[in-house]
Amino acid sequence: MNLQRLLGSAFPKASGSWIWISILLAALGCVVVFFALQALPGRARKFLIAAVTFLAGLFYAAEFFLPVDPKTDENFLTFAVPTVGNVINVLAAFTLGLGVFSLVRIHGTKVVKLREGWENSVVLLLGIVVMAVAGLEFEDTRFYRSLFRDVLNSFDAAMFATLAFFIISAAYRAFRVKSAEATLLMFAALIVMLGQIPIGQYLTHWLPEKGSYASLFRLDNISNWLLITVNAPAIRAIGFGLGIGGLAIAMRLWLSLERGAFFEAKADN
Amino acid sequence: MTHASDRWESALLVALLAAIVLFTIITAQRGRKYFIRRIPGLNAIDEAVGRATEMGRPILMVPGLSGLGVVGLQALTIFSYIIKTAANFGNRIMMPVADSALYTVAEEVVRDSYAAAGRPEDYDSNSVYFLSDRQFAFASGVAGTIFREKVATSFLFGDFFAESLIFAEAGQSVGAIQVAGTVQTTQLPFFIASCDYTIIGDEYYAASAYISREPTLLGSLVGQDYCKILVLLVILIGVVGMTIPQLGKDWGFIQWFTLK
Repeated sequence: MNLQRLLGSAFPKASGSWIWISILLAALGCVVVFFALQALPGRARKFLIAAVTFLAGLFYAAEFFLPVDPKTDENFLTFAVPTVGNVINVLAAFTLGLGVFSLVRIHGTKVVKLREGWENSVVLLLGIVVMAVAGLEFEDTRFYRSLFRDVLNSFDAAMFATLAFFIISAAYRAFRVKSAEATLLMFAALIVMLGQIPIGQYLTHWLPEKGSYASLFRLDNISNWLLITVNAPAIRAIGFGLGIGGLAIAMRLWLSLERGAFFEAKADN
Repeated sequence: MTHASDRWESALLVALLAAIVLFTIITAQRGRKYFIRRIPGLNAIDEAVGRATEMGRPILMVPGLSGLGVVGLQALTIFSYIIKTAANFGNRIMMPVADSALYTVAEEVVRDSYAAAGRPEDYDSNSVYFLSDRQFAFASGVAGTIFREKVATSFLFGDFFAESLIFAEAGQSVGAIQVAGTVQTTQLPFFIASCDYTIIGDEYYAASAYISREPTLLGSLVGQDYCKILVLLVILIGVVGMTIPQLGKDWGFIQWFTLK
């Protein structure tokens, strides 16, 4: 808690016009840091990035591993978790501006040069402007709600609905009997599907549900066995592999050991 | 808030797994040679790029809805290799991105990859673009690109959700050769059904080691395998323990791993 007090006294809560001054100073600080980073030679920049990555990772690791006060479930770093989260949000907000700029640049150029499909780009740019104005100025109006609910959500739903047709075409290809594996897949899928639907369950409803060997041949029991005994362990095994793989790559990123093509190129600069 | 003291057993296991990975990385850096098995999906990358060259149509790379995290960065590492290969053959590439933070890094990765391939003048700033962070708006944008440009090759690496099948089926309908990999196990069946090659499970994280053959990454990959052997041993001991009536669920080993 001492650290919290120390930081609290160093950065007291701003109020009134001080809020705007603080925001301005912070923005100025960001600009200075940005230009300072640009001026740094490649090797020094790489070291700085590695150091910041390590410290940020160390913060979360220390916050997780250090013992906590059983009453509050907090240690001396816990108070800073929301603040560090806010830093990430601020960085994300900056990048959103860059993303929108990219969109406007590409589609703006298309409209200006009247390239093929420029009409679609006009609609997109108009959509961005109308939604932004509606969201900023008319948030509690029927106009905004209508744009959001009646237009945007309907478009989303329409796109989602196309999945129904895509699933059929994908399933058709997957279940074509081309090899032993595909045959096995088709039979397994057929049994699971029949076991899930009423007509499939009706086919073997005359067999006992449990308590005798005959119950093993009920379609819903075979379907459950395939899902729980065969499928679930395979999914869990993949999950274990993914978890360990994620841990390994997180370690490499944290300790700046990652050497993909991108990271190699950065190191050479 | 979750802390190690909530469950020290899990925290210790995580620390042990991390130590194993670090140990194998260090041994690899000191010159120990490790073998890595063939991964057909990653071998197919060159074939897929070659097909785009023959057809003279663009290559599409989609990092899904990945943000600037482990999954997104791994996708960019794979794309970087693809871009270098594509740059050597003079292929046009396209990379729509759904996350604005990843977009800024992706733009740099593409530029750097062209420079690394010795073709910085071929870099087109319009090849990487932000579409939308709304799932289905992004899906319709990517599907539209696939249909309009009739892409020859489609690489889908990253975090995918319900939109995975929209991408894969759109690619399938224009006859694109498709290689996909995701950490979302729920989307794997869709990719397997629709794509030519699918990278399953932790093969996704093995990709950078497989492509670069860099000792640090190979060491990490072997460390992951040792960790999996450890987890497998724990499961086997647990199964045997639960099967023997004298031990059962009250046995200390089982209790240690039982969620309370």
